[in-house]
Amino acid sequence: MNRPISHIMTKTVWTVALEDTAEKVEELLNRRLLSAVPVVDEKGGVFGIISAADILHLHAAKRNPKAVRAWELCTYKPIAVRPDTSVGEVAGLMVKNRIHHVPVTENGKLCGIVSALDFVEQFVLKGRA
Amino acid sequence: MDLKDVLAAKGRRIVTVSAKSSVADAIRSMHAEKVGAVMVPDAEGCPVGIFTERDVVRLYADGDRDFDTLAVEARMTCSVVVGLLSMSVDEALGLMTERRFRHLPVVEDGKLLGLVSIGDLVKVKLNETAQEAQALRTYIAS
Repeated sequence: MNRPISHIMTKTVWTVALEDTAEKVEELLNRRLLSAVPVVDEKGGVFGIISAADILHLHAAKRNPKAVRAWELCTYKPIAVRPDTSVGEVAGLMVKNRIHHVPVTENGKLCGIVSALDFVEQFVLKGRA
Repeated sequence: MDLKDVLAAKGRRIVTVSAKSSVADAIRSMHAEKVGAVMVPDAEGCPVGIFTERDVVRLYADGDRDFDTLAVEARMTCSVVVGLLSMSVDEALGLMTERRFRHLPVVEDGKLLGLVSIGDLVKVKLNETAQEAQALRTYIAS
């Protein structure tokens, strides 16, 4: 519970750039079976996060996925934590804010991401945090 | 398209655990079966609860200590919102978005028939949109 989140986070994170099109984001989500992807700026910082539901809303609004850019589509400045934040604290943030993905940043750069699935895997594969 | 079509495409496999199972066993089942939620049915097969990956996060948030002795019934969601086979994908998505949950058990006559996730429904909608776009392109080109 008091272990740092860096012990359970996914360290290989798929990302998109600010100017990537919604079409490219959708293709990445489908190809990698992801439900969310962080949008990073040129310095590797987290600008936003895009979920599959955001893509759905885009289509529902009949916007052109070739013309809409990642920076327009994302949730701007999502809740992020540092690698040394405890597993329990991150879990509390996810429950309180009803979010499913939390980017992990160090010195302003993305270094991991945590989803609810990571807590399941943590318990089964590594024992309690 | 309705939930009957969605279940026909994805299958009606449901992972269940008993209410008295430990949360540790429920989490192991979720992991082994690669699902984000397990259902808790009663003796007649009617859903009495659902235990999801969100409940796992909540366990960590609450600092619960012993997952092996804690029963699923103590931490599952009991007031389960369900969908019917005839419910449209749009209706189901609206319900899930409004009530903020990601797994919808599908029942008929009180019996559990399947489980759809918001991911399943988003996939259906995106496929529909892609087909509409293709049809439009074909129409314009013809």
